[in-house]
Amino acid sequence: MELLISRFDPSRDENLREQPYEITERPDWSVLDALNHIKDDVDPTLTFRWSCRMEICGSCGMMINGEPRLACSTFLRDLQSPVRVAPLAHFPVIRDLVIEYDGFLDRLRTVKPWIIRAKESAALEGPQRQRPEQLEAFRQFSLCINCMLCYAACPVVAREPEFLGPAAIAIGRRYDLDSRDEGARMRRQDAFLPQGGVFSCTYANECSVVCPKNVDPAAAIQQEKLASVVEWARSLVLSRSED
Amino acid sequence: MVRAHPDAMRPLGPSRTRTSWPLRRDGWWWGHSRNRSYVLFGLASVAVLSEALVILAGVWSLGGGEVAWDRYVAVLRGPALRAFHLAALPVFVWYGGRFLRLFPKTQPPRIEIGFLPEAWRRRPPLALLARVTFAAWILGSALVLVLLGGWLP
Repeated sequence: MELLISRFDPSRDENLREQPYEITERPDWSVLDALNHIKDDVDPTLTFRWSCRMEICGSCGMMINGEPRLACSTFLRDLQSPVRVAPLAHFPVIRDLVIEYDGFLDRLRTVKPWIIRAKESAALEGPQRQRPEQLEAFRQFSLCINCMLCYAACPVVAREPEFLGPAAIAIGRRYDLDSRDEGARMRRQDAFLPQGGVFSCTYANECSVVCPKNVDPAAAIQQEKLASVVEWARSLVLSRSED
Repeated sequence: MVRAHPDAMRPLGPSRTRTSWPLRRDGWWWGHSRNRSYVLFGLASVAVLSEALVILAGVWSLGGGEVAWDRYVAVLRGPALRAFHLAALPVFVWYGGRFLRLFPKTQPPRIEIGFLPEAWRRRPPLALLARVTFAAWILGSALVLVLLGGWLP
């Protein structure tokens, strides 16, 4: 089987180039196994990220035959030769299949992905309890593994550099829906409403199609649109009534 | 290889190393069947906007008196608008169907309103929500058809 792998050496390449590798196909191999075989036995300069090998860490996201997928859960037996392997689309590439993900972390930080309380309570006051149905409200969005496949699938990310993107908004939504969180009305909306916020999404739904954990970021964004409008209208009415 | 925006997913600060120009996913906007329906949905909104303008013109002509209204109805009965509506009807049906198919999951999974009993706060199952919205759409359309057709006794 032939693998056409994108290569990029920042010290000498201007653009990505494709390098062919011939491997003996084994039916139980994932694309990640094939990449590790190439790195171990054929070409040690090949660079890519990986860690858990079981769809948990989200490190091995890459374009496989043009689709954003995790290399650990994409099997060679399901693919036709040649298999094209490229770094995740819509991200600057550091080297070979390794993308620059600081841009994602910057966007993620904007939505304040932590529980915000109006008044911090001391640990001695006991746990902040939550009923199972309250957990169920956000559990789906908490399954995100930050693999960034949704960013590689989203047409808006490719064109609008300011866009927060699917995963960051889904994670923000996860905290908005958390019964212990009081951030939605305080500060998180500031990230969702301006240019590049939830209203940049055109609901292509591709983020949800490619998500390996069925997080459904598209649903999170549409829900956040509605919630943001309601919150904006509420604040407008309240500020007028205060006047 | 098609290029994405040069600043797509660029960090806010300077990169720690030289990076390549980000590439765009192959096949946008027409390469995948899923994308085709998305692009067509966007294009169909032009037909929806056109129809909104036609209706707006009707409301405007109502304000202009009987002569203006008769003129508007005459234009509606003309070949151009008949052809437009004939072509637009299947577009609107498909557009509405896709909209309502995507609609249920955009609804909040839970509404925190104090006086509602717990069972009412939860979003109904998505399939049920889809069936109810489709049924409401069909019933609403049938009602409009009966009203406009003058079939009420």
